[in-house]
Amino acid sequence: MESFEKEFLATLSQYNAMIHKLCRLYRDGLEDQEDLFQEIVFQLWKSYPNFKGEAKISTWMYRIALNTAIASFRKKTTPINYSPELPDFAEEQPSDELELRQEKLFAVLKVLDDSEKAIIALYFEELSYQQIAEITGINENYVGVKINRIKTKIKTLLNK
Amino acid sequence: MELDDLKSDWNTIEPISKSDESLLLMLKENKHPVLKSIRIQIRIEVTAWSLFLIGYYSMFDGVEKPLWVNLTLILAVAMPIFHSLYGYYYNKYLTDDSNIKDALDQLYNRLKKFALFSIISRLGFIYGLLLFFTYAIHFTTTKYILLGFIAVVVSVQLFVLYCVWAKRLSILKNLIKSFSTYK
Repeated sequence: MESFEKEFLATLSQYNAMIHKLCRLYRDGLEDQEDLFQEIVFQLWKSYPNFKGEAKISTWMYRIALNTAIASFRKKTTPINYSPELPDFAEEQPSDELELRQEKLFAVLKVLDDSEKAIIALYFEELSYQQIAEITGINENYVGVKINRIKTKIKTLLNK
Repeated sequence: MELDDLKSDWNTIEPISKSDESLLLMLKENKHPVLKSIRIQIRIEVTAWSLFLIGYYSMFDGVEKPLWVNLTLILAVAMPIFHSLYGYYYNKYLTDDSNIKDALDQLYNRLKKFALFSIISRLGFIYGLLLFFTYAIHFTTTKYILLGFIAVVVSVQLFVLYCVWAKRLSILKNLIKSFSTYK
């Protein structure tokens, strides 16, 4: 393995969890999520030589990962319609409570549109409004407005 | 369950661990699933059309037709290959490190050009084939009816293609709007 590849893989390992979460957020099936993961890694690798350090590495990573998730080819599969009503998980008996909570989390998030998904993911990753604005390209005030609206939407959904 | 609970659940998600070997394979262009399938498609198209071009001159009386008609046919059969190469380039350079809003604007413009090329290449392909096979033909009523039928089928096909691209572009436009405006 060349040192440049080693360096890239070391950087990638710090953001592996984030990429994995974005794949679960933007794709439904395991195979689609795996394809998206590979696509994001490929696009990051291709852009890595051009990373000049003008932005933080995290900003650069989030931008490419989200751009790829939104722009890349989606396989033609039977669409899954996420109901605004939360599913009754008691009937499904997932293996443990953590898995159940994660399933519930994604059931809620997948009701959001692609732009809302991007913003709430960055908010959950505990990025500042300024960082979210840099990644999304919308102004900081509007980031605040958008987050409040998404929060309201999610709360309404959770209270149903 | 509150929003903070969702946030903490988000942070409990563990990545699926991958070995360095499998990650290294993901960096290779020849292991990329979409690019790999386009490369296979290009190979099939190049092989099929090369065989056609080798045989057409004698089999379909290319020798008896003017040079410009032959050249139009060659260009027409090359169109699907150019289209696939364009698709390969489009997928290879899918995005960059621009912010999402700018990246979506760029994507929209690139997709619009790709859509236009897609329709023009399909039209060029059909036009080239029709020109070659109908050139210097003695038209009878039956042949006119047949040509009219082909024209209708082709028009419907092009209209469907246009609608597919228009829908994709419209979805993208709406996504750009959702990043740009206060709803």
